[in-house]
Amino acid sequence: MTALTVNDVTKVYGSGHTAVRALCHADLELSDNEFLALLGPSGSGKTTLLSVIGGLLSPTEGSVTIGDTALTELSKKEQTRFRANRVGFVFQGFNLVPFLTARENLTVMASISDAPRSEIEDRTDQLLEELGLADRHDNLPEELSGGERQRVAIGRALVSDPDLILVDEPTASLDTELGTQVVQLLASEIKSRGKAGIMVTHDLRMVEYTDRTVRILDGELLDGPG
Amino acid sequence: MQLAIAEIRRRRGRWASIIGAVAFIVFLVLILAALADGLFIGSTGAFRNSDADAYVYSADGRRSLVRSALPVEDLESVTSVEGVADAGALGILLATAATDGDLFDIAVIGHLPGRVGEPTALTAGRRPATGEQFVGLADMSLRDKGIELGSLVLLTGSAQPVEVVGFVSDARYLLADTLWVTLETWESLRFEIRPETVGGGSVAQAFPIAVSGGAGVEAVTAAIDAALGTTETVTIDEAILSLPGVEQQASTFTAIIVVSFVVVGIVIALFFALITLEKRGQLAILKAIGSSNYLLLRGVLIQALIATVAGYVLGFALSRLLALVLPPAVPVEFLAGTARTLFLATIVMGALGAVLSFRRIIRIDPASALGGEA
Ligand SMILES: Nc1ncnc2c1ncn2[C@@H]1O[C@H](COP(=O)(O)OP(=O)(O)OP(=O)(O)O)[C@@H](O)[C@H]1O
Ligand SMILES: [Mg+2]
Repeated sequence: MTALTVNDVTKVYGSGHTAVRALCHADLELSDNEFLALLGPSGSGKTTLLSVIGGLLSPTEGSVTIGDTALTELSKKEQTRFRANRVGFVFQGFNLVPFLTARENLTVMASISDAPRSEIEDRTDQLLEELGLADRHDNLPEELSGGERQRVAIGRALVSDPDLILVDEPTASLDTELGTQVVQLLASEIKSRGKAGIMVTHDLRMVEYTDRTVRILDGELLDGPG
Repeated sequence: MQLAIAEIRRRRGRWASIIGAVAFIVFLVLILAALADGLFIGSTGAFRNSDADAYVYSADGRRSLVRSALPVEDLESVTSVEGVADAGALGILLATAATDGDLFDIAVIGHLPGRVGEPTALTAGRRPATGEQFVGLADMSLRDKGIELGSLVLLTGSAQPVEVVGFVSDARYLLADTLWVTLETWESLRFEIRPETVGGGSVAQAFPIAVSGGAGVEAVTAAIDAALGTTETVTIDEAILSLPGVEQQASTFTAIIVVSFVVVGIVIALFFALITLEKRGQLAILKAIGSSNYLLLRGVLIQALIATVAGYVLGFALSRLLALVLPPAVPVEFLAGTARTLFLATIVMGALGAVLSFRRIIRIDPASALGGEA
């Protein structure tokens, strides 16, 4: 089954003289249980593509379909709800709620998504265990290492059981060894749950943990590891 | 809900400071309101604590008990006006009295026992009988001056003491303790203490009137003034507000209290504006992972509610503590009704202050969470 279809998406920021074409007729398909690496230099449009796919940005042209939902047809409100239930995000950098403990950063999804609290709590305990955070669950983000924080973020992306996981440069603030560990964990969590995932990265070494690589250059997608 | 409360629990310092600020303003407002209520109650008891619907003054008396003078024989004409169910007569004498050598101000009020205008709540003893001389009802506040049933009160300038035969509560006049005697006793005390008032027949200073069931008070007051030609008749509410200083005090205190609540609103608004600014990135991430505006705005309202309720409770407790150490001469009255109104006002102002940050929160773009700058 197709988890994601990006169909002829163009994204232009601004207008007139200052217009920037960040995506140019991008097409992409992703099937269930597929983990894709999106590789490209700075400014090539990786974050923009991820934002469009996740319903955070509306494309100037083209459409995005996740599962059987035409995301680009939904209203802003419906897109928000869709993100809460069907898409998991892992952002680069500090992206946890600073005054919630590791555990609470996951259980907070019970108020955000429509999943029953008991389900979220069960999955939280399981994820914290799998991510090696069982003994850190009562710590605030400021008391965690960078790698631990990124693992909490991965847990949060998975806890509402979404169909699609979107990850933007998960290793940017980690050293190579830690980065590799985090990506390995991420890949195994995504694969073991049969999810579809896209990971944006600069780092060629991370590609080996994914099923497929797509390159992006100046807003254009090029298939293959090239 | 979880988010809103967790934020307060984990950021105790800053939330304690906003709660402290609200508590401080609430404390000031509660003390001011208690003073306002105390002054009002102490100033108006003699009027409020009666069954009168209106008061007749002489036209040149400008609604003042002290300045007004009415011939007692006019009472007949007032009683015969259509719609008047009962009429009494009042006279006032501001004097000093002594117990155990201590001098204090006292307002001696002449009245007609059994007729409208006398204090309604008899708390001890009995009332004077009609025409009974040199006995009186004392306001309960005179107990603090050592006066009991059977005490003799001697007014400065008078040779004849008045025996206290009963007590009434909440019957003070312009913060003076009152002693209610028959109109006859009042007249003789007045002639004795203010010899310049002798002559020109019997006078009273106001006729309290009760209006019969179906009659409209406004219509009856107009009818009285038309029938007598020399009077100004006002409703009880107008009579109370015309007491010297009462309306001015009430409006001054109201103005201060209203301004204080505006300050509560501003303090809360600034606080939320500040923390919203600080939390922009975090709010963007919450939106990106699917938080609705509704969820975030509800959280802000819950936080405002917690801050104002906690601030109120603290301010309330402080005001009661202060009340314990205030000297009894300070006329504070803590009324449950006032406390309730101010509680609601605090919460409403807090909510309004919080609502001012709504637009800022709604405008935060969830897309700004991606890209790592957030
Ligand atoms: N809000 C915006 N307004 C205008 N131009 C933008 C905006 N966001 C991004 N751009 C431009 O669009 C292009 C693609 O940006 P994008 O953030 O998608 O790149 P990226 O591949 O994620 O880069 P990086 O690796 O540095 O994160 C860039 O030229 C950038 O300057
Ligand atoms: Mg980027």
